[in-house]
Amino acid sequence: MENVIVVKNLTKTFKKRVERRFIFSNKYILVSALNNVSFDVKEKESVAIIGRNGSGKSTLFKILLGIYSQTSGNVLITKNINGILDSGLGFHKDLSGYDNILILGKLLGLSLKKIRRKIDEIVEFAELQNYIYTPLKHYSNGMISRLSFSIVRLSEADILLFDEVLAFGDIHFQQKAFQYLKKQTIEGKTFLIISHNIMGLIPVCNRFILLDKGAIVADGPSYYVLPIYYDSLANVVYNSTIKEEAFKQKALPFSLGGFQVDDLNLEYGQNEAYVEIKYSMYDFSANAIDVGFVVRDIAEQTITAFSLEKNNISLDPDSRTIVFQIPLKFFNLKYILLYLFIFNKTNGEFRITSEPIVVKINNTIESSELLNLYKHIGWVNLPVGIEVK
Amino acid sequence: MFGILLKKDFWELVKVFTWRELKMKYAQTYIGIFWMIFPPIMALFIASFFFGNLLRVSKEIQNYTLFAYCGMMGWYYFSYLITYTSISLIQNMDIIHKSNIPKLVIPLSKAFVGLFDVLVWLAIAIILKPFLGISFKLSMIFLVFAVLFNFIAGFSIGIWLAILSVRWRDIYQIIPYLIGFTMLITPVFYHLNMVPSSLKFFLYLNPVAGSIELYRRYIVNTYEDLTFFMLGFVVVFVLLLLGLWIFFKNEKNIAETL
Repeated sequence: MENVIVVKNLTKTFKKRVERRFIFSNKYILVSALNNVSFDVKEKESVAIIGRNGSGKSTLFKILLGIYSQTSGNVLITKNINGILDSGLGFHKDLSGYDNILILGKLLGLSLKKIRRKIDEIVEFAELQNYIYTPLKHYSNGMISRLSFSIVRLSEADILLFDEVLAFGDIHFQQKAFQYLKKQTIEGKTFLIISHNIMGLIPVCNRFILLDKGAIVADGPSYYVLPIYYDSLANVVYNSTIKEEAFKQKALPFSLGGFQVDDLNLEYGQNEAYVEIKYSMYDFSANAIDVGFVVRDIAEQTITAFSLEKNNISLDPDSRTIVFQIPLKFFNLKYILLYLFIFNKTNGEFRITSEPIVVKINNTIESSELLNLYKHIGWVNLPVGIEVK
Repeated sequence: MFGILLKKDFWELVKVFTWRELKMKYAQTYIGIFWMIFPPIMALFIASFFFGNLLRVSKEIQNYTLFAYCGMMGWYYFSYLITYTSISLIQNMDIIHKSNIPKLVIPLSKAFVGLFDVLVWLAIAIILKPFLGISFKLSMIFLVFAVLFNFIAGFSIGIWLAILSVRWRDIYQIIPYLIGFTMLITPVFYHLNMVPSSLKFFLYLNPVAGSIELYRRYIVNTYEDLTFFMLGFVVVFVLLLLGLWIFFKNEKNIAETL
């Protein structure tokens, strides 16, 4: 398939004003938003651009759309390109949905004739039949983003850019929109999407580009790029060596009713991690308490949980230590977060720590492994029994 | 560069944006668009009851009510253009940052909103003519040129201010005084002949004065010699072309600097 976007050594430097003084403020600093970025996009691809705030995603879109000019480098676009950088671009709160449709439609380069002809379709897709003559100030954020998406989808451009357009739509509408995008790629359209709803992007985009500080860090399928992205997040947010001490200080002792966790130790084995907790018990009968951990990834998405009860083990009234053995090879991540919880089976009370312990897993993708990337799909490797007959 | 002005898409954008501005201007008012007749009615009141009875000039000039009304009409559009086109880019910063529409659409649509006002002013003046015993003449169709002249006078300066204000917002601090001062040197309430001949040259350079005199010629049927006003027209026309050229040349800078 042919390339529709070719970006070569794209660099963008901004002169940003520094308002340090109240008067005669005339100082500028140079901020480089994009640094030697090169990539190309083929026809029918749908590409997700991810990265932290300020990593240059929006600047890249603005250059692709021709709003900004690049400082150096080349951008070659062979097909019609259009896009929306803000849900509700050009919308005015005092105007009705109908008027705003005309404005955004026109900003996207549709002809007035076409917009008027398609107005019913827009309203129906946005599910706003009863609100179309209501001023936009009575709309919720979700309604506004639904309306803008429904207009953008009529754009005749071959390449469409979306910058956080679906951020406010509910899951139902996001599903509908993503389904629509998928169908469109089959019909030959190309999409570039910026979103922080990464989980939502996985089924839609066949390619992820990770930007950091204006440079491309990773480019490839989701199961290659996302672990790298999450690892970089982990490096920013957590420093795992300090973290264990911090956990002990902040979260311990951790108690529910008469059960109290006094100490916690993390140790690494060959392929597993051992979490040892020391506890004391006062007035509860031992089998009324369940202790365990909730496992989350670095973006705080719950992956799984394990506990005594899940393993059909009950507390022994005489013991004072529990050791959990966590098989690390089941995770496709560099870090997992463990949240300690205690559950009281008699009255349903549940308590979970607000601080996690960070478990480091040395499970990075080696560059020699690039051909076997598919092995890294998903966060967890399920130990499924397979029999070849 | 100027080819964009021939594109259908450009004018559709202007249409939609003019409509947007117009609706925004009267949003949530009870009588809505009927507010457009308020400024001309107020002007009539000022011209007839206030200045008509107060000032000595009013006795020396024939049909003073409509005479001053024409002055205020030309003045209204001129100051409207300067005030609103200059600020339009900053008001619509969001659109400029996030879409690549031709930026000229924004000041131009502001100008067209004012044009609707002018049409209401004109309609009221024409309706009043028979009541004040002023005859209709076929030459009244040349009012189109008066409006055009008025538009070019205001828009040419407005677009320069808009360009400059992208970089130096200090401009906005000056605009009210600029408008207030130019009103004094424009024959809004007084007659051309009241200006000493040594100062007349500056009057001819004043583009609003020219358009006001044109309004008067076709509404109050005055017969002043307007040839010298061509000078002012040439000046603003050159200003307009230069302004547009700079505007088109700096379109991308506008988005980055604003």
